[in-house]
Amino acid sequence: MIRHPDFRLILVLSSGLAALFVAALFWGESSLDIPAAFRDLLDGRHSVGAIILGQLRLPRALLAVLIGGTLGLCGAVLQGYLRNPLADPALLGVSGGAALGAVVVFYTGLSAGIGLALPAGGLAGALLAVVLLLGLAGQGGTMALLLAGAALTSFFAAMTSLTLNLVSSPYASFEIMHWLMGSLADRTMTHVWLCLPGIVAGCGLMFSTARTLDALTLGEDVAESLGFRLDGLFGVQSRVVVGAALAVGSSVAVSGAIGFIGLVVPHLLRPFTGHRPARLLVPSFLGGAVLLLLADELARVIPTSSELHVGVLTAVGGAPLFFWRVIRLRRTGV
Amino acid sequence: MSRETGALRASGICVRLGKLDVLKDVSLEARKGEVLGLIGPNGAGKSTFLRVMAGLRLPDTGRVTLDNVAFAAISPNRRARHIAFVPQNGGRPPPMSVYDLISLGRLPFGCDLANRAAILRAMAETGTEMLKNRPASALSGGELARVLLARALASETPYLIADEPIAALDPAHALSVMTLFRDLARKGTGVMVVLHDLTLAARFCDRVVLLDEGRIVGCGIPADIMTDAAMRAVYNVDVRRLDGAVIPWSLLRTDGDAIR
Repeated sequence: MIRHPDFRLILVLSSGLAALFVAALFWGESSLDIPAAFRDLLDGRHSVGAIILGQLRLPRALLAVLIGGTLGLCGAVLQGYLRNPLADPALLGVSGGAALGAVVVFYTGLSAGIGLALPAGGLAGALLAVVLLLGLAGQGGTMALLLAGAALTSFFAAMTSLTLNLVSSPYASFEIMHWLMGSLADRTMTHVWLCLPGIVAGCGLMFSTARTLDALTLGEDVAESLGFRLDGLFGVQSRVVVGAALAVGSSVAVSGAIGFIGLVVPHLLRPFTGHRPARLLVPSFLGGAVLLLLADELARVIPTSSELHVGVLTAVGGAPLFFWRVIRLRRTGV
Repeated sequence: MSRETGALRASGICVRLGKLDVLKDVSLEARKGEVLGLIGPNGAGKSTFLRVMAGLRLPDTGRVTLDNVAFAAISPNRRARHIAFVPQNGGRPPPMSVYDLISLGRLPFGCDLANRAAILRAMAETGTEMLKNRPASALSGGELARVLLARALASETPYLIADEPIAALDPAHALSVMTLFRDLARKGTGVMVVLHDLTLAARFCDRVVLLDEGRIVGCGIPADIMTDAAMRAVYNVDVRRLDGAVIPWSLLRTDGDAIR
């Protein structure tokens, strides 16, 4: 039997993920008898423990895995496809679209009436962004994709600012600011079901590009000469754009913007995967999940006057990693 | 597979880029077992024609056939199993190991037990075994050119198409690569290669094709094609000959007199 070259890396990351997942279920403000709560949950008894476990901690931990994994994978795929280590999921403008969709829901006051109006608005904004992105970038190659993403990002940012500017109630703009920071607090299983289809379909599409990404390391001509389709409906560009947009759009719609995971995780793991984009995908999914789960647990337990937003925490933790990368680049040239 | 594959044939190829006719009605057949050299001045359409032959660019009119089947009817994967392509200087390579980089040549074949043997053969043929574990980003220009060639050889395709593969090489490495092409051709591979070194083209190519302004102005054995008159007309240079070598010697003025 041939052993996968990244067997150990994947094993380490999966074990870490499993440990953090269990910790996320056990660890919280109220101490629970977890085995009892778990039995109640399975038997359908509405005990306090079962409710806290099944409706608060489980969805939160599941969302951290799904969204963190999506962001890590998406970062790895985009960095591989664009052959640019600074590519990140926000680059396509889809996060911006989701944010605008959610902000519009806030603005119109729908969020107060209907619980799921907010993620639904985010999802609608993300889908609108995908359609615009595909229409703008078309089959124009990576440069057209980057330009279209930059155009959409600035357009959505402008519209979001405009909405914030026009919103009359200071309470609403406060809520919007908080949502934009990104958080997994108070999410339910409904949120999980809402983002799951987009994440599964999007991640599936992104994983399907693995071998093409390897071929692309030597340029588009070599990739095409090795028999990979770059353009067209089933070409790698369509799969990367639609996959990333679906998965990230669904994630941002539920959690708000969570930065740096997509940028940092592939960077941290790349040296362990021989700099081969295909080998980076599974570890990046696991690494993103580990990092977001860890950040969310920290956000829950760090005592602050108001609960920390996990999006703020990943940004605060992620930025210094880039300082370190710059220093390493200048010292070693890699 | 390699034994059964027939000729790679282009007929009536025209390519336009904007208002410019890059290729005008070019027809050519690459045969297995020969080194076919494409020569001609910069901008003659050599690289474009090579990309058309490799299936990387659709011609505006005309078609390329492999074994009498048009490219349009061949899946990209099947084409990749028959034609390997080495582009002109590929830019900065990724920091993956040389072995991993060469193994990319096996991508069209999926998980194949023959992969490792083919990679080792390609490394042996190009003398890159010693570089196996080095990061490709740390290679010298000459080493990189040989590694990129090994990547294409690892596919073990019946046809190998290379765009200026010896441009970055010193004389010894250029000779070793040309010798390798000739050996591959003797074993049955069809090698098609763009060259600017007229001496090596004259020495190693079984046939040369002289392209000028998008047209084939000559095709045949080097001695017949690389005549003084042809070199003057196409390259605008006077050549001198020494033991069969063709040496560009002096530029011509537009009225035909040499500039000393």
